Amino acid sequence: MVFNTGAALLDAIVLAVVAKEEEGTYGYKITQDVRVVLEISESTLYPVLRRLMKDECLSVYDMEFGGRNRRYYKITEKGYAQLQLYRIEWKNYSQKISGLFEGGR
Amino acid sequence: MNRREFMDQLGRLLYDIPAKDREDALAYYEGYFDDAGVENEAAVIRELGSPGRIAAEVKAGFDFNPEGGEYTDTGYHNTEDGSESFHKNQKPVRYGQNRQQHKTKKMDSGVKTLLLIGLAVITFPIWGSLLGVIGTLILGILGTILGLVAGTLFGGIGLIIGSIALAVFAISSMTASLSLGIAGLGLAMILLAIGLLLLVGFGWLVTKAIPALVRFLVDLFHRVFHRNREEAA
Repeated sequence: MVFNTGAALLDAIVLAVVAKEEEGTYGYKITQDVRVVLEISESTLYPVLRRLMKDECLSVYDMEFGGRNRRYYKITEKGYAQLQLYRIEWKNYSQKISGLFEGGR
Repeated sequence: MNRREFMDQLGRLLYDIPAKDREDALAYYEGYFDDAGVENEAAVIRELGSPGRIAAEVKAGFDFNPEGGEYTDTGYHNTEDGSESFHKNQKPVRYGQNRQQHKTKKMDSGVKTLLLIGLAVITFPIWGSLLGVIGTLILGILGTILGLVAGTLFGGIGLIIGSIALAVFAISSMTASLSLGIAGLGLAMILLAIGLLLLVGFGWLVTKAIPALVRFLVDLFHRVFHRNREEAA
């Protein structure tokens, strides 16, 4: 991609992807979902997930799947509040940039 | 390299982090391989890069601090000094080394700062007295200027007043002795001339010499600091 994705935007995208799944989602699926909108390397997301967990924006639980334990990530109240903040910030930011690019004012 | 070798190597590279964190990271990537499926194993390994790169990213994630660096779509970037970054296209073996170097460098700068502080304290008598000398010099120059200004002003005024008084006295004593009176009047005029000269000198000091000196000093400071800035840049 031409534009770099900063840490905050990456956090916001991961939170948005996880928030879509009521019951939580797992690492591989998160990576695939994020890669729909963003060209990121597969290895990049583990530290991001860990960080969001440490900040209590995500919670984890293990559930059996196909004879093994799969770790699921779920958005917390705090994570949801954070996502709302990111949404507002992104809206302001992207509207300004788009306005400039499209020569509105 | 197949999945087993990849994971074994990653496990070895993470030997120096807490067991809990190591297991957590290994479980994540095991799960990742499981979910990707056997058919995608080679693609995942290719995409993940190398165990060295993963290990470096995992370790960097543990002492993550918001000021020090950040994860972006191209990997981990250290915004502190730019020496440490994990990019997709770089050779993965170097990450571990970079990290090690970064740590020692950080320690070095800390030790250096301590040494500098120690040196500053120990050498205080030298630069302390030097500072004193410079301060005294500046005070001396200021005193001289002040003395010159005050001297010319009050000397001039004093001489003028004195010469007027002498002239008055000389004129009043002319009836007693004409020659003495004329001599006194002459002396008063000489004194008046010297007094006026001193006042002219005072005017010159205040309007020309001091502004010129100030301009010179400002220019000097400006040049010194400007050069410092240029050297720094």
